[in-house]
Amino acid sequence: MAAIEVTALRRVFTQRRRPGHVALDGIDLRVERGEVFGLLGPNGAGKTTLSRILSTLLLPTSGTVRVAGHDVVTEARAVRSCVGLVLGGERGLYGRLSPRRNWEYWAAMCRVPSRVARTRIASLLAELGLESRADEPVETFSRGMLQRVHLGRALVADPPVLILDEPTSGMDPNAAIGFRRLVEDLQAAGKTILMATHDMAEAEQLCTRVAFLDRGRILATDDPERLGRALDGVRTISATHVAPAAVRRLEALPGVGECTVDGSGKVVVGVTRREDVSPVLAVLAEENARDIRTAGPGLLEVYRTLIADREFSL
Amino acid sequence: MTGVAGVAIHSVRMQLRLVLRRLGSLAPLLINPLYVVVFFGAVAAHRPSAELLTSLGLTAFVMAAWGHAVFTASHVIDEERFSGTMEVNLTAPAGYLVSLVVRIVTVTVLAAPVIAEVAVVGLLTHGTGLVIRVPFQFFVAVLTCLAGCAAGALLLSGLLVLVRGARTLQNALTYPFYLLGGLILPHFSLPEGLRQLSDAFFLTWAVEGLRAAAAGSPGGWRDLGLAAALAVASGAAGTLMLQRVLLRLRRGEVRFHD
Repeated sequence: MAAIEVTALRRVFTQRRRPGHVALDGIDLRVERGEVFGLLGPNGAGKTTLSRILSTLLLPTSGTVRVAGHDVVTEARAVRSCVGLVLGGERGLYGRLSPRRNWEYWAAMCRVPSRVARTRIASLLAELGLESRADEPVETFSRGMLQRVHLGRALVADPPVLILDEPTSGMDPNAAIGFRRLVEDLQAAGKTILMATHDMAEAEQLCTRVAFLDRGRILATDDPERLGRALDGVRTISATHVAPAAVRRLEALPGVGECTVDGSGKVVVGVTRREDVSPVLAVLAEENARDIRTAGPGLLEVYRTLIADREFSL
Repeated sequence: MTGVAGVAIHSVRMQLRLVLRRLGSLAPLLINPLYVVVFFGAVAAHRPSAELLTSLGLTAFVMAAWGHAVFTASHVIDEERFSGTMEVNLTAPAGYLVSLVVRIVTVTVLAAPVIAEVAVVGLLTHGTGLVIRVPFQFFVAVLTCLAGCAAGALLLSGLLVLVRGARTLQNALTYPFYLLGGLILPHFSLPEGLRQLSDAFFLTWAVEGLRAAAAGSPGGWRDLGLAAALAVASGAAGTLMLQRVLLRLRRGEVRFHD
């Protein structure tokens, strides 16, 4: 049984005297247990709407959505027992209360027995590095700490599925790295994680599979590496200990768009077609270059290829 | 403790902590002694009896309780929406509606100490506190009054989410309702039409019941019964409205954020 199964999901927001806005248009999706699945796409693509439907906050207009085998419409209560929603930013917490009090309230709402809740809260405070601030109001916390409080709240009830809605938005790089480490730990603990994000590097690092959404439709779903390989875009080849003569040979090759060398003899070559990679590798091997690496297009390139740049228009 | 009782207990604790961390939200209750001073001052020249002072003091108490329900308790949901906690809490397996109702009642009940404020002001200004002839009946009357105010806050809190501009209406829910509830004039002296409306308002009977319990006059229990029935009816209507609000939020017909 999949952790999340979405079939022909459609969500239309109707407004008075105006045609309805189609937020999700025929979404089919399957997330296996233990996966970290990324939802990528521009603002307004439908990521948040999908996250809200999965966590029972919104009802679908049509289609079926099952989480841990339960239908989000007819078995909403069972779904809620299996899902932890993690919002990004300062919203969603009682700012005047401490992490401990926020989590205690949530545990009661999830009908977690008080004794179990106390033990779990104590261990979460330690795991998330919040012990020293456990009894301070969360309104005094930094963005990174708030995110840990959000995550801790969702984990108090120990749900098997976590839905993270732009979890690292606005975080500084260190906080974001720390948060990603936590997500990796949760995956190792067997949690299924669905993560809506704008951060392609984060998705590349964490997600076993990603789906690109635009205007309420899924454009592609696959693992990040395969999506990159399928794209006939720029590939980079890098190597060290490259002699100047070898650099000249590389520059002369057809298909080499860019060739940069730094003072230490490291060269980075850019090619646009797959068939141009082999001649470059052959030259580097002949010239005894070391530490030869190739990199295909990343999710950012896939994103820019799949989703048209609308600049500031919606 | 789990289940509904657990949710209720944690909700009371949580709401009290939220209030204690922003005492400003109780400011309207601190203004109450000023009302009492004005009322007592207005009759001072006429050497008022202890019964009259008690009646005036109870009027001030009911005004404070209703005002507190309208301006503070009804905002529990509004604050949930504003802080984004409503969004998260709606994903809880059960109990959010129970929690909201309990929290609104908790805030309303915080108006109870106003009774003591009234008594203290009476002692300081006229040398007499509240004269209560039937204490048990009076205690029940105070509870009925607070329960009715909480029911009113429940109804209003749903309206604040559903109806745009409901905040503008809040001011209209105080003085006209004091008049309607027989706080300013006895309700039997209200004009035809308005009196029937007043009869359907719990506050009318709660105030009668409070005054009867204090004076030991007959008919107090009947008034309290009527007040309790009307409070239960408006509490049920308020809870149903909240349920509807939560459903409309899930349908996407009402926005999570204002």
